Amino acid sequence: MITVEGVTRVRGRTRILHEVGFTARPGRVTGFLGPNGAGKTSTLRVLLGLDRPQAGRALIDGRRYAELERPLTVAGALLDGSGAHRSRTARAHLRWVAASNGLPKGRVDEVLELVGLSADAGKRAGRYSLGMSRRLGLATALLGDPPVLILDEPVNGLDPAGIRWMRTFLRERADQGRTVLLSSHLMGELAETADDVVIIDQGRVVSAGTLAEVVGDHPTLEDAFLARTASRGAAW
Amino acid sequence: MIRTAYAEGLKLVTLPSLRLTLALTWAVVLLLRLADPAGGVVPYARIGTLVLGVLAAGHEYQAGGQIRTSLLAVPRRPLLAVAKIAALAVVAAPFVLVTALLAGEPGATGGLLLDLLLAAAVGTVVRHPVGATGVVLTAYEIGVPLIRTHLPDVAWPTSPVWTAAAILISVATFCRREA
Repeated sequence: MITVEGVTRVRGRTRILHEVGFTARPGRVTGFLGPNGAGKTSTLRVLLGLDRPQAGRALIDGRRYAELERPLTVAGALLDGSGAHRSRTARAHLRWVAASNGLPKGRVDEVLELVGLSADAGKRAGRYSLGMSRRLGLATALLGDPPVLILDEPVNGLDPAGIRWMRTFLRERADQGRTVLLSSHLMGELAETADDVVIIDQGRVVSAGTLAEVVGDHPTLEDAFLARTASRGAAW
Repeated sequence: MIRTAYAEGLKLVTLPSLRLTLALTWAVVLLLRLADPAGGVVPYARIGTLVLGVLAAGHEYQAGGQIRTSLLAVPRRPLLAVAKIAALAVVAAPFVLVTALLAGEPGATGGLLLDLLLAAAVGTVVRHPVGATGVVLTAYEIGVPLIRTHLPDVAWPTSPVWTAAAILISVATFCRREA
């Protein structure tokens, strides 16, 4: 369960998040939707304790991420890039991450298997393709077998087979009862994956609910999205 | 704490650039012993230890975004900062000892280790290995000799004081900033 309440964040003189609030529930895929620069990544960074908000709070199962003692067993996160140093092998990368949270070494091979990287575990992360990098990032997120997954644009740059794989994978995690929160600016993709949708625009949540509720009378999620953000004028 | 420091140690020993720096440093020290330069070999060995310190801390900030993985794995920043320093000191101590022995001055071990930790603090603050290497090499090889020549009578603080100050600044910076 993810609870974000009244999160406001100011960077310099710009207010990039304005009282952002929503929940993501277990057993469901929650899509966090918004145009580029709307505040999706900023919200996730606050949720993960990378940035501090000026007001409000973001909780995972009732606790702030930054207070967690073994955070990888509570929430796994996939952010931009693989998160590995390019000259380290995937296995060596996962080993130190596992050690940092007191996870057994055997878990490394399990997650490599889970994301289909076993055969390439000895390769340096810098030699990985974009799709393999995302898989390595996902393997890192899965190390602690967490009940909550937080993913920032997980399908960005993936080919159709990769997108299908990621979608199926996240669906399975939600069906196991986990909380899955993923951000995206691809509406068609999100309509295929998400049970619940939160739309953010210019740092404010403009709509939240089940996919059906958010779509409402509009023919598609895309139409609903454009109708809710159009009043602010076309960003481009 | 031990868990975090162990993970930081694993990070250091599996980084190819550190092994390369180590091998190059030893090779250069052994070669220079043959040449027997006037001021001894330690000033040259110091270059290797400074680069090693910078890389150990600065590699977190290179391409790939490893620093975010580190902060997600250990979000308590003071804990992570202290574990990093402890792990580096333990991993680097044998390397520095061997370097000092090869240079023929085992007594230089402590000084070199302090220099290495200071370089790591600079690497943490600057977050850019090439830039940080420039800073520490300029300071040690040009700045310090220049000041010593022109102001021979000033009582500068000793090496442990400088290192402690640099570490304090780096820990404070690391805990406060957004990564």
